[in-house]
Amino acid sequence: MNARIFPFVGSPLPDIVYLDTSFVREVYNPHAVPIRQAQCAAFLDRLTRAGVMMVINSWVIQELRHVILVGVYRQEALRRRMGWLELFRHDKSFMPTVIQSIQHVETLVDAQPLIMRLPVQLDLATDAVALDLMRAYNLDAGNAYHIALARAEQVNSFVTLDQGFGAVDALNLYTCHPTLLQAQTTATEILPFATPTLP
Amino acid sequence: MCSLRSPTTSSYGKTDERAKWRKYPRILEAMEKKGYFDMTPEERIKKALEINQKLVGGGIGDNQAEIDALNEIRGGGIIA
Repeated sequence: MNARIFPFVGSPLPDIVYLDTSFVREVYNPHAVPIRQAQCAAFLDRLTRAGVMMVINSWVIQELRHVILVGVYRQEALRRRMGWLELFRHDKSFMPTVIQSIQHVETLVDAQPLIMRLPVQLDLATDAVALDLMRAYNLDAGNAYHIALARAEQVNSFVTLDQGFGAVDALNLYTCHPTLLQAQTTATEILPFATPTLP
Repeated sequence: MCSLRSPTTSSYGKTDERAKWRKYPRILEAMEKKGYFDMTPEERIKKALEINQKLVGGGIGDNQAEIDALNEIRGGGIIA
């Protein structure tokens, strides 16, 4: 692990954090593991009480929309003993439910005064940074774009349940992921924002 | 001794708050559009905590399906 790993409880907090899709999803899903959801909800409240600015962007939003769609369709597909893709291809009757759920979650996110939703500016420079990150840390494209986009806003603190970010230098990760927490830091300060030289 | 103006509600206080975020221009722009500076810190936190409560468990859909879907587009690594 090269990122600095902080637990949800008792850790120092930065001014700004990037809310990863994995964290937001864990908060709103009604069937999430109760103890984990409670940890995430408590951390969301902790960030709120501390006045920490929480940032999401269109890249997070498109992932959320995708997982909500799959969540709704697979739930119904399981009842019918078929694959969700097959159901999605042939039956669009669940789309109003999907759209309603997406709008519900996004309306709440947009109404939360401390969560800022930023438009994504994908350009060739971002593409290049993301590819460099993939190469340097053997990342998936999705993770690489999240980091590239956060860096463009000078944000290096993530709230995530994805261990894929753990290998990346100069990130502060706030998490309840047990594997990440095995490498929990004893540092009492967060890493300041810097654009490191990639290995 | 009491202060003649509140740093959280006066225009002076708001200017101070903006200065803190000036090094994040796009985030500051989003804050302005959202009306962040029109509320006091106490009002923001109160409203935010109310919305957090509505957000927790407020969605629909299968939990494992969502995790699997995110893991597929992330190359794994998300808590199961």
